Amino acid sequence: MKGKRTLYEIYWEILTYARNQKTSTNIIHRCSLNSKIAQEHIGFLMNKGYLRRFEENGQNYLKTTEEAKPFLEAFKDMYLELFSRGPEFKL
Amino acid sequence: MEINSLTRLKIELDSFKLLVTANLVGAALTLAFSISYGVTNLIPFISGEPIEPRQLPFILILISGFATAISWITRSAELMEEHDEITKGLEEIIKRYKNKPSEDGLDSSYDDEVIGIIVRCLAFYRKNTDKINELKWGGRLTGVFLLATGIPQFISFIDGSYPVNSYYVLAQGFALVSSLVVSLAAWYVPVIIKRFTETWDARLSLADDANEKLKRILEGTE
Repeated sequence: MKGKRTLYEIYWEILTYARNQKTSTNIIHRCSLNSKIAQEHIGFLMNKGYLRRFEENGQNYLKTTEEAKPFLEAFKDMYLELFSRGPEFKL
Repeated sequence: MEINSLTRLKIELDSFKLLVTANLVGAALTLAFSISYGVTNLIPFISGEPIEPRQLPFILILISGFATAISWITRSAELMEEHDEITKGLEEIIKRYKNKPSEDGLDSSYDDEVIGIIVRCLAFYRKNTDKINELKWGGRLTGVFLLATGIPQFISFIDGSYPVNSYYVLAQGFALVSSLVVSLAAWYVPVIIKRFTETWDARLSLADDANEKLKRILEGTE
């Protein structure tokens, strides 16, 4: 993704994408992050209990947990509201 | 998923696309005018004839108009390319939604996709705020440029000193009037861009408030 995202927007992207189990590499590519920054974000979200790491067939995966639900719900409501009730531009 | 958000998002993306297209057209016209007048005025200079002092300001306006138009086209094209990627993403979601047999609207994966587009739009605006603001100056400069080149010719056209070829009088008159009309339209584009930037600044401010709330959720204080 091009452009400037906020920290919380990046967290939302990681958590949404990892709803179905993903590897760190998948997340790095999908969320357009560099490896170091991605590991920091993943580490933070794991400490919060929003992401869980597990192993399957010798491969490490990450998956979003139920604890992330309040954050994801709040994000969804507030961001949809930006366009449903916020200021409007029309030609 | 609120369909209202999806519709408004689409309208805003389309409106911005039209705005950038209008800018591209303005820049292309400025470029065309500066080339056509520039070639006419520079030919004697290239063929070795001296430039008369009265031609100098005119040539300077043409050169600056040409440079502005090139830079303006480049900026508009960059904005358009990035913006098109977002629009395509949204259109794909809308297409999928239309083909969806479900009767109870969109599910959470659609919400996620639409929010993904909203995040991309916000990131796009944050990154390109300065560039979009500069487009306002492009419009104003085009207005000044076309007026500066059009008004003297319009006056000489009216007082009869303009070198009018009797066969092309209509076309010449049309070209002069067009340049004046386009110059006035170019003055209006910055007004629309200002409205656009005001809307997005207000939206970014709301997004900042939302981010503060999200921070509190993450910290466990809300």
